[in-house]
Amino acid sequence: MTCREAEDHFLAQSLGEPTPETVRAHVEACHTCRKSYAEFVAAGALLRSLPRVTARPGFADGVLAEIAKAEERPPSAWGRVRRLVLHPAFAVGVAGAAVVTVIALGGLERENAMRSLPVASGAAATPLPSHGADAGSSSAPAGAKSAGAAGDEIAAKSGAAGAQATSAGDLDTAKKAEPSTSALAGDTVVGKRAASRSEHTAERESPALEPSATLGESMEAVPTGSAAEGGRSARADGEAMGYSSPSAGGGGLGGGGLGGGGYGGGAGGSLGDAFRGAPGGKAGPTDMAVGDHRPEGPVGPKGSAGPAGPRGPAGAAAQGGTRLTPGAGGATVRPQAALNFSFRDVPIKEAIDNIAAAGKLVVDVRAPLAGRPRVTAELRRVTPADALKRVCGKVGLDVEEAGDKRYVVVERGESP
Amino acid sequence: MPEQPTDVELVRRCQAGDSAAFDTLVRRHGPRAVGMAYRTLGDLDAAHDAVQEAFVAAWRAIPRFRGDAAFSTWLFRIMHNVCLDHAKRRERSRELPIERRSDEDPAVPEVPDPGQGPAEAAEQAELHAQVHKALARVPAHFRMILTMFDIEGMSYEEIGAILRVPIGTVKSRLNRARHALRRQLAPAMEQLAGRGSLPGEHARAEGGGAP
Repeated sequence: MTCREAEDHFLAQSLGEPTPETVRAHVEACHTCRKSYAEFVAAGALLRSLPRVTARPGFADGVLAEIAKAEERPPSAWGRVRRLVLHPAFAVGVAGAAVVTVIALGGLERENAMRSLPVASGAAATPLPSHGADAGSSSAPAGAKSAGAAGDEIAAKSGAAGAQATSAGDLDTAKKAEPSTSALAGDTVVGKRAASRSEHTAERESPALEPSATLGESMEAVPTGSAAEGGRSARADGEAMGYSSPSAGGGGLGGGGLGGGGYGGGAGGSLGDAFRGAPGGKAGPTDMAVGDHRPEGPVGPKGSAGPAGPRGPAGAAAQGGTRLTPGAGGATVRPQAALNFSFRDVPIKEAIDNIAAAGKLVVDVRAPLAGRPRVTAELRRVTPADALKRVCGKVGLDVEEAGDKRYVVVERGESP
Repeated sequence: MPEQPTDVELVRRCQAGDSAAFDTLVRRHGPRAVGMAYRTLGDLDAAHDAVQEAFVAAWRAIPRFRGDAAFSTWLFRIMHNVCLDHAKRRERSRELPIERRSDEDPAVPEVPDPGQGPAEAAEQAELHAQVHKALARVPAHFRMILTMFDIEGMSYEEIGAILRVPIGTVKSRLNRARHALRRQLAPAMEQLAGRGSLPGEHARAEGGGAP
């Protein structure tokens, strides 16, 4: 028995709970442990001797006034999304849509089998990837639709943010899809199909997978283009992305029991971010884990925009260039998503780490960071690279680009 | 005297939109919540803010509260998260808990114990201030669990339900938290031991296993 092992039993021993005899013997024999134990017990006694503190008079009135005020304020964008997602009708819609989609896809597969179209790859005999994946991915957006007007709001907004979802209405489109491309397996098929089917539109799209925009951005982006057009374009291109969504969307919603579909390929980005405050898929409509509540508001370190939600194969699929930008028809090309960063008196190292994580940048720091001033900055709608340059600039550091999202931080005036 | 409505009943009324029922819940659980938040955040204003935030969150979420746990457990779980967020923010911004002078500390009773002389009362107040400061120096999640167990007298089961961890985890976390506090209290302990007034085992069955 070591002193460390004995210490593990102090609480039990002090409360008279069963304790191994070896612990008692050790504490009696060891001078250090005897002293520690006495102090341990005294610490508890001193804590219990503290007087109770209670609320000030009028506290309850203050709470109720605050609630009344909060009720008057329109809920935040995230609040609206969360309320919608947590609404039981949403779950019903998702479940219903899942059933419809499974049936529809089943029919589609039969139809495809009947057609026995020739295939390009020569591996046509392989059946479609599991229904579960397809159904899950396709059903989520359908659920969004069936949730009614509010669901449309989500679809439009997430579509604008690059969360292009295949809607239930796209079954027609799905029927037109070349079944022969299903020769490959699982998510790879999905990814390839996404890439091949998106080729005709890829020119209009952002060339690289970037960290997702914040949810706020996606909301702001909606009015900038024709929602209808954006939605159509999103569906046209997002068809494949929708298939790829079980992992991407799962980052934000799937874990909550929405059938794993999430909102579609890109939803893992914006919604995934939003859920970062309460990780672990607590968003399920029937699993109201209010105990995990985090107050609404900025998420991530000091309210900075975080990186996209977890991306699995969907992310890989999207690397084919299938990330639409807000606005109509994908006319806008944004090489890097704009993010918001907020730093309040943080060490420069923390700021750099934060930006690197959010922007998925590789940052090589070649200057000492210790002893530099702490950083306070509010950066709105900046690319991670710009954010990095600006915070480094504040503390006398230069940032050099080294290509492929690599950056080198050096002392001002020194080349890397 | 009319019988007080239970929490379950009040929650049901809240879910039907009765804000007066929520008022009763706030008055019933608010004082204890503020006490817990105060020991966690070390500042009475911050404690009021945190508890207020927790109640607002609870009001918003109450339509979805299923009653799987007691209302108080659910509320304290929300409050626990809010307090940890507040504590984290304060620590990040280096706004450490205010270490009040003992004469400003709301925890010090304004009316001294009648059995105490002025000297003892001052000594007691000083000791409380030291404990309060030591508590402020242990990590926030330790402060929270120590407050729940030692100050609020919650059981392992209650704490486990609030934190959603098994009882074994509660015990080991409490043990580590108390050790952390013990280390922070070392100077005060030396003084007390020197005067021969180190508090012994009493209350909460403590001391059954004294060596």
